[in-house]
Amino acid sequence: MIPASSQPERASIGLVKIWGEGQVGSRVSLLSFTRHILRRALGNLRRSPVTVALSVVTISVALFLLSTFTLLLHNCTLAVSREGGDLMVMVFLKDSASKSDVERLSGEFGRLMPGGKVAFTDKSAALKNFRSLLGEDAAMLEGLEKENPLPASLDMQAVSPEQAEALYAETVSRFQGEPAVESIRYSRGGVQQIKKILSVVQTAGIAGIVFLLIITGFIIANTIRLALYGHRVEIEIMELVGARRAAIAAPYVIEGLFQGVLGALVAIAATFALFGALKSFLAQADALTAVFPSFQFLGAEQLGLIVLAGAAVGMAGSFLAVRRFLSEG
Amino acid sequence: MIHLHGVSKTYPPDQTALRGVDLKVSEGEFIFVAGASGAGKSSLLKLLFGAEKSSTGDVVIGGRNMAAVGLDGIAELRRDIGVVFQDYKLLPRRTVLENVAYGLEVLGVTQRERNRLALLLLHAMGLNDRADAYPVTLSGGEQQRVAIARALIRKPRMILADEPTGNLDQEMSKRVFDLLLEANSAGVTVVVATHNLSVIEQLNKRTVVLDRGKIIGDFSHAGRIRQ
Repeated sequence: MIPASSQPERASIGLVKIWGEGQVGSRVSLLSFTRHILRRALGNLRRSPVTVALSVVTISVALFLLSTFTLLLHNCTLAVSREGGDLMVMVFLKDSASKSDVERLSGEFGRLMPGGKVAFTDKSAALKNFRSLLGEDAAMLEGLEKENPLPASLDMQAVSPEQAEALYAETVSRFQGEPAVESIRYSRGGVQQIKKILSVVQTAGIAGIVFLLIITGFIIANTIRLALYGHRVEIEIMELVGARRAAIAAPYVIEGLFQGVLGALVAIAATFALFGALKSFLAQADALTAVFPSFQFLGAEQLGLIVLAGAAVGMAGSFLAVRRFLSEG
Repeated sequence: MIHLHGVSKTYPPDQTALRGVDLKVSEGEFIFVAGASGAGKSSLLKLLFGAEKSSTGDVVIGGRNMAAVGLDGIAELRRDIGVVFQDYKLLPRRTVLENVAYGLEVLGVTQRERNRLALLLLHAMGLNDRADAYPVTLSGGEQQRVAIARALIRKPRMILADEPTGNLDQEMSKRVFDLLLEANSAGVTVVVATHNLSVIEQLNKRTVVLDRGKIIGDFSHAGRIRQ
């Protein structure tokens, strides 16, 4: 032990001179701060490539399921819309219907569906159509020319399935029971069934995918949390030197954003490969070509949403992880 | 500067680290907090830089009651406090220069400005030739001086040092304390927690002695401790 009185003189390092006048380190710039955040984010990504790759794979699997589902749903919806566009509401007329009845009803039906078409099929044209429909079996209709049992009809072609639906409801409510009208038909059964199934599939699929994305978010959160434990000394030092929580969290949120976007791009690439394979398969299957005459890839808007979903899941997962890590102290 | 009134700290389930501590430290004062291991020295320091909240009582730092300060408020407070630990807490993947400048980097101070200040400090401490080295290549004494340089770079109003010379030999300990004394001479309040009585006696500063979480003595000069 050295007695206080005999201690050698301390050599000054000139702290006061170093600190100088005014506030030390007052030259703060947003650019320097941003550079610091990005440097840390990049450092984190470089430091743990395996963890990053695992996160990207997890996100891309979830988003691949999402984009494949969207691709199939998109094309099924297109097919139904196309089919639905051909739907007709047919109003069969009594034999007693006069020419003026036909003209009056044609005018009224035309006003019910702007843009749609109304065509009159007289009894003989109806028989002719029926003959061509029967093809080789048309011989069984021999002799019906004199007592043609088929009714004349007004055939209304709507511009969309929605318009056809509304038109049918309106026609039934206004013209069922009209003296010149025999019956009203709308051959929508099969397509409507498909639309209902598609609607259920869409709802269930979206719910499933949201669930999947939430699970993915938690996986990301846990992956980032593992990384955070690896960086705990740096985080502790940042807290010690007075870094704000947002500044501590920002690099990890950027890391999550990067992982999410990269995962989304991988998922889109995989979906595009699947799309190519499906398209060539459909080209060889005649029955399916009729249903999907032009099998289409997802549009820019849908692709943008998939990238956004990846970014959101990555960022949210990281944010949750950092918040929890910091609150654990 | 520091005002503790009736402060207790209990860790779950029922480990009491501090009991009814009353303490006042004036601005610019140099004070030792002495006591055996487990006496509550580290817990006291943690309360002072907001790493822990007191279970009961008031901890007032620079006029602000820590119980009422939010997380960003604590971050702001820490910009005025330099903290030094026995295990240095340096970033292993950053150079000495980057470690010293780190406290300014997280605030967004320009690289030129922070490097200028860090180099000045390192030069003054005789560590300028180690600026590009990584902490692992430095001796314990050098690492602790780097940690002190990091604490000093922002001209703190207070330095809290928890066993800063616990791992150092006598010569290195002296150099570390020389730095703390110079900071104190420049107006910085210095609180040093240590169980090393010989260091306390050498510097002959105000010393508060803790035993099982209670203050059992507050001596204006170390010479009176043994009495």
